[in-house]
Amino acid sequence: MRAGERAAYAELVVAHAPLAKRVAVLAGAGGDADDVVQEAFVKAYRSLATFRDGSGFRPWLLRIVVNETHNHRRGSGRRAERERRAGWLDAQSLTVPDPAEEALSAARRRTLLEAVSGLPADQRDVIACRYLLELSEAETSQVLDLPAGTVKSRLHRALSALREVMADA
Amino acid sequence: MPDQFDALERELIGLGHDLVPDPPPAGLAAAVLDRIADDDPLVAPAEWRPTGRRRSEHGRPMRRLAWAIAAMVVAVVALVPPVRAAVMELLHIGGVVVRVEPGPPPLPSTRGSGASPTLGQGPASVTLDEARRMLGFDFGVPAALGPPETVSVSHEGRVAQLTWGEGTAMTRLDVLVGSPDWGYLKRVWTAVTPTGVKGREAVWLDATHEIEWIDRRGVTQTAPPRLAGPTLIWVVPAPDGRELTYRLEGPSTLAAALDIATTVP
Repeated sequence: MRAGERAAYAELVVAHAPLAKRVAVLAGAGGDADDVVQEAFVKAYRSLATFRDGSGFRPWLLRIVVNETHNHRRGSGRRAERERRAGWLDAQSLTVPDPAEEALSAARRRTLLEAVSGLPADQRDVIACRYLLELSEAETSQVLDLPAGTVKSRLHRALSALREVMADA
Repeated sequence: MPDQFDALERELIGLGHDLVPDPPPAGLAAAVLDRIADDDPLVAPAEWRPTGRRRSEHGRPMRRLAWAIAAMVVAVVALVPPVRAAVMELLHIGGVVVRVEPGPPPLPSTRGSGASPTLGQGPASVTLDEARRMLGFDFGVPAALGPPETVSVSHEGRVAQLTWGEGTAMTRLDVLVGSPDWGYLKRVWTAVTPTGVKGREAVWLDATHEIEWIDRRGVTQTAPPRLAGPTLIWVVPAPDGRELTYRLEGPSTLAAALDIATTVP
C-alpha cells in the first residue's frame, strides 16, 4: 500500500465514518457499532477492486456496513436470537433524547419512532435509509439492494401507514 | 418533488437527527490503516482472517468459498488503482458535494480569482431579513464581519449570498438549505481537510477549486462553473430537521476561516 493511498483512504474513512456508524446503529449493531464500522472499512478496502468507478462510493460502502452488521448479529452467539428478531431500528436499543425539546414534541417523536419500529421490516428499512439517514432514493435502493421501483412503492406504503398512526398522536 | 418534503417526512428527518449516535472513535482511521497496512489488495483475501469475531461453524465453508472467489476477482482487476477510484467519488457535506479529481479540468471561460459574487443567474439584491424570509430560515451572520455589504438570494430562493469587501479582499458567505437533489458541486484536486465548527461537521478546501450549482435531478447546471478560492463548509441543523449549509470563501487559512465561522450565532 503506497503512502499516498494510505492518506487517501484515511480521508475516506474520516469523511464517511459518522454516516457509516449511523447506518450500523439503525441496522441493529447496537453497542457494537464501532467494531462493525471498523470491520466494514477494512473489508471495503480489501474489496476496493470490486468497486466500480462511477457506481457511487457512499452507497457501496454503506451496503458493506449493512452486510457487516447482519454478519455481526448472526455471529454473536447467545444474543443472536434476540437481535436477529430486532433488526433495523430496534426500538428497545434506541431512545429519543429530549433535553432541549419541548415535552410535547419529544413525546411525539417517541411515538413516531415506535410507529416506524412497528412497521414491517421491509418498509422500516426504506424509511430508515430515505429519511432517518437522508439517503436519496437511488442510494437507498443500492444500500438495501432493491430495485428502484420497490423502494418507491415501499416508501409510499410506509408513509401511508405512518400517516394513519400519527394522525391520532 | 423530492425536495418538497411534507410535514411527516420532515418529522422523520428530524427523528433521524435525534438518533445520531456518539461520533466514531477518534482513532478509527488509524486503526483501519493499521489493519490494512501490510495489505496489497492483490493478495489480501488470502491473508484475511476473522479478527476476534466468533462465527457460527456452519458459516465458515461458505465464507471461505466467498473469499476464494473474491481472491480470483481481485487478481483479475488489480490493475485498477482502487483507492484512487474511490477517493474520486463524492464526499457529501450538507448541500455541497465535493468531488476529488486527479487534476484541473479544461478551464471554463468564467475564470475568477478569490471570492466572486457572480455565480448563478442575476441574484436579486435584498435585505438580510428578506433573505431569511425567502430561505425560510433565521440564519446567522458572523459577528466578526459585522453587517454584510451586499445580500442577495439566488437559485430559486435556496441560496443567500452575503459579501463583505471587494475584489481580491472580498469575503463571501453562502447559506443554503441542504438537499440531496440540488446544491453545489465542487471539484477539487488537493486534499480535503475534515474539521469542525463548534462541534459541527465541516470541511476545509485549502486550494482553488471549481464550483458549480447543480440540480441533481437532471438539469445539471444553471451557470458555467467558476473557480473558487479556499473555502470552509460547515453544516448546522435547523429546528425543523433540515440542515443549513454555510460556505465561507475569502479567508486564506483554515485558522482565519474558523475565527470567522465560530462567530456565527
